[in-house]
Amino acid sequence: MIYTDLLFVFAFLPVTIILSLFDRSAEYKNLILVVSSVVFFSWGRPIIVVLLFATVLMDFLFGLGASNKNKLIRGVSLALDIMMNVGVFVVFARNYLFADGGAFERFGFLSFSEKLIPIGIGYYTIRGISYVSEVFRGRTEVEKNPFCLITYMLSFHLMFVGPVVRYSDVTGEIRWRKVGASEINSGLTRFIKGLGKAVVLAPVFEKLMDSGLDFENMTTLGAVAGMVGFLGYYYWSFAGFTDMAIGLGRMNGFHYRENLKPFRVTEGIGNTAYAFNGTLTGFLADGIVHKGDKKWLYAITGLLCSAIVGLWYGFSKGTVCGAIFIGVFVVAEKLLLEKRFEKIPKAVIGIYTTAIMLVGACAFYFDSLWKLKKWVFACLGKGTAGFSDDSVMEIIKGNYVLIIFGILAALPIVTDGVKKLCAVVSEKFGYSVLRVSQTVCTTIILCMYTVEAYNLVK
Amino acid sequence: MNDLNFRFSGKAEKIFDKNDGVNSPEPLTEGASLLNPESDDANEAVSLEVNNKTDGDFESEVLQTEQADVSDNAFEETAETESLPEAEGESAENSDNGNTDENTAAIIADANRQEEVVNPADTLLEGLADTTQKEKFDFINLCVMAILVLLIGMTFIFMKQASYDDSQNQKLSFETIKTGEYTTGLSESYTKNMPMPKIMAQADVLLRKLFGKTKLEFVKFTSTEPPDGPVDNDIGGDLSMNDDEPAESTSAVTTTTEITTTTGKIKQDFIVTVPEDDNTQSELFTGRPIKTTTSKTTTTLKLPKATDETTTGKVNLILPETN
Repeated sequence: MIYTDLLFVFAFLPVTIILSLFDRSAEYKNLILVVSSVVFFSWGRPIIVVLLFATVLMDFLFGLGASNKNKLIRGVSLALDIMMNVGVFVVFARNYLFADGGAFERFGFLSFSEKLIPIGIGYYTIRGISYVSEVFRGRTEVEKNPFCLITYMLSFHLMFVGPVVRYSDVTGEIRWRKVGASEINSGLTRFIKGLGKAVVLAPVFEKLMDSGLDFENMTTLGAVAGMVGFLGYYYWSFAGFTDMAIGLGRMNGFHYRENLKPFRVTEGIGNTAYAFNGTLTGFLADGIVHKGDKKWLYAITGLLCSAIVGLWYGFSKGTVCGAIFIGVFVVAEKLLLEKRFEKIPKAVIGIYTTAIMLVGACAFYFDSLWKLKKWVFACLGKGTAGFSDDSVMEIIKGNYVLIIFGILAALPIVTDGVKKLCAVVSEKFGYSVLRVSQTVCTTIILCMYTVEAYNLVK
Repeated sequence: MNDLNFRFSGKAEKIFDKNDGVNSPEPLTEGASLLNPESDDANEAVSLEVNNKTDGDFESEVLQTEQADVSDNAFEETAETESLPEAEGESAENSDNGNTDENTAAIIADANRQEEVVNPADTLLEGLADTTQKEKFDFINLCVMAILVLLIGMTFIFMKQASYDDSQNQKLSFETIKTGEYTTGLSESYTKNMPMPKIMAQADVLLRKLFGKTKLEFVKFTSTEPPDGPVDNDIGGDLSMNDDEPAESTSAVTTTTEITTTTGKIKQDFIVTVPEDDNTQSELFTGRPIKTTTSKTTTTLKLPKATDETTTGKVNLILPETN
C-alpha cells in the first residue's frame, strides 16, 4: 500500500484519523499511529514488522549507549548503529545489487523477493542514525520510553521521500500535540495537493520521459522533451509525496520541515542545491561536512557528502557523478565566491546556477557514457531517427495543458506571482472569495485524482 | 473617541464608531480595558496597555492574506499609520454621516504627518478577529473535503460491482495473514469491485479532452456487443469445417456460442466440427455421424480458454447414438 492507492486515501486514512480523534491525549494518538503504521507496513508483507521492531530495539539500545559518560562506549555505540543502519539500507533498499548482474552479485544469498523488502526502508534507517547521532552529540536527551521511539521510527508519514525528521524536532510533539480542525484541514488540504502532483501531473512527464528517451529510436524533439519529462517527473513525484507526508503529519499534529523549496537560482548553487530534498542534504552535511576554518578539509568533506548523496539516490555512475559535479561547484562557490557574491550580477548567478544544476540533474539519468553521448548528439540533431516521432507528438498533443502547467508551476517567479495575485484577490474581493476558490480548487484536484487512480487500476 | 477602522482584506468594519451620536468614550488610558473603555478595572477580560500619546495617535492595521499555502496560516500584517482625531473635539464634527469621507481623508493625511505608533490593543483585536475568520473557513473547507472523502469511500465499499469472486482469497486465517494473502486479497477485491466503471471511463475521457487533443471518444459499451480484438474468454471452438467459408471468430462473448443438448452429459475433450450439411455432424476422430437438429440436440458447452497459439478448443461430447 502506498499513499496514492485508493484504498489508502478512501479507507485507511479516514479510519485512522477518526480513530485518533477519540481521545486528546498524545499517548492514545501515538498508540493509534503505531498500530496503523504496523498495518501499513505489513500490508502484503507482514514479516517486515519483525525486522522493523528488531531495528527499533537496536536503535534504542545504541541510544542508551550513546548517552553513556564513557567516551569509548558512546563512540562504539554510534559506530555500530551507523553500521547496522547502513547495512539494512544496502541490503533492503538496494537489494537489486545482490541480484544476478548486480554489483554485489557474489553475495547473491542476500537477494530476496520484493515481498520481504519494507516500504521506505531508506528513510527509516536515516531516522535511526539521526536519533543515535543526536544523542551522541548531546542535541537531544536519550529516550528512555521505548514507545516514544517506536512512534518516531515507525510513523508511516515519513516513508517514501522524507522529509528527514530529526528526533529533536518531534520530541515535544510526541509527548504533547494539538490536533484540531485547523490542523486536520491544513493537513488534508496539503495531502490532496500532493495527490494531484503525484498522480495527475507526474505521470504525464513520466510518459514523456519514457517515450522521448528511447535510445534505439531517439529523435531530436524526443531527446529534449524526454529530458524535460525526466526532470518534471522526478520533481513532481517528489513534491507530491513530500506534500502528502507533511500533510499526514499535520493531520496527526506533527509539524515537519519543508523538504522542497523554490529553486531561486539567483541565490547561488549552494542554496539551490539545498532546495531539493534539503532535509536529507542538510542532515548528511551536518554530520559529514567540516564546519571549521580549514578550507581543504571543508572541500574534501563537502565532496564526500556529495558522493554520499549521489549514492543515496542510486548506486550508479550517473547519480554519483551528477552529485559530485554539483558538489564541486557548491564547494567552489563557498570557498572562492562567498565574499564577492554580492558584487556579481544576479542574472549571471542565475544563468550559471541554472546551467550547472541542469547538467548535474540530467546526469542522474544516464548510467553510461554511451547513453550520455547519444543524448547530447541527439539534442544537436546528429545520429537521430528524425526531428520527432509520432509517439512523442501524441503525448505532447494529448497533454500539452498539463505539461505547460507543470513547467510553469515549478518556476519560483510564477509561484510568487500567484501568491501576489491571491493577495490582490483577497484585498479586492474579500477573504471569503479567496478561501472559497481554494476549496473549489482542492475539490477539483481530489476529483481528478479519483478518476485518474480509478482508471489506472481498472 | 476614536474611529477604529479594521479592514479585513479590504472590507471595512467599524468597531467603535463615534459617528452614531453616542457620547464618545474618553481616550484609553494605561491599563484600561478595550471592552469597556470607560472602565479602569484592570481585571477586565481584556486589559491592555495602551500607548496613549497626548496627541491621540493610534494605528490601525490592514490585514493581507497569502494564498500559496493556506495550511501554513500565512497571514501577513502590514502596518499603516493612521492617526485618529481627538475624541471630544471631533465628536460634534463627525456626527454627520456625510462627513465620513472627509474624516477618512483627514485621518490618512494625519497619518502621513505623524510618527508610526504600534497599538498592541489593536494588534491583538485584529489578530483575534483574523484567527476567528480563518478558523471559520478552515472548518468549512474541512467539512467539504471530509464529506467528499467519506462519501467516495463509502460508495466504493458499499456499492460493489460484485463481479469479482473474492471468496478464495479472503479466508481469514493465520496462514493467510502471515503470508500476506489476506491483505493482498482485500486490496484486489477493493479495486476490482469498485462501482461505476462506465462513469469513470467517461470522466477519464473528459479529463483527457481538457488536458489536450485526444483521439478518445465517449463510447457506449453494451454487454452484447463483442469486443474488438482478441479477448481472454472461456470459449474456444472451431465451428467451421468448410474451407470456403471463413471460420467463425472464436473471440466472441459466451452468449453467442451456446450449444445445448438434451442429455446434459458433457465431457471436455471433443472437437466439435461444423457439419457439411445442416443435419449431420461427424465426430472428428471416429467419423461417426451425429444427427443434430437445432431444436432437439443443443449442447451447452463451456469450452476451454483460447490460447495464444490456437483459437480452437477441445470438447468431449457424449451424445446418444443416432444410428
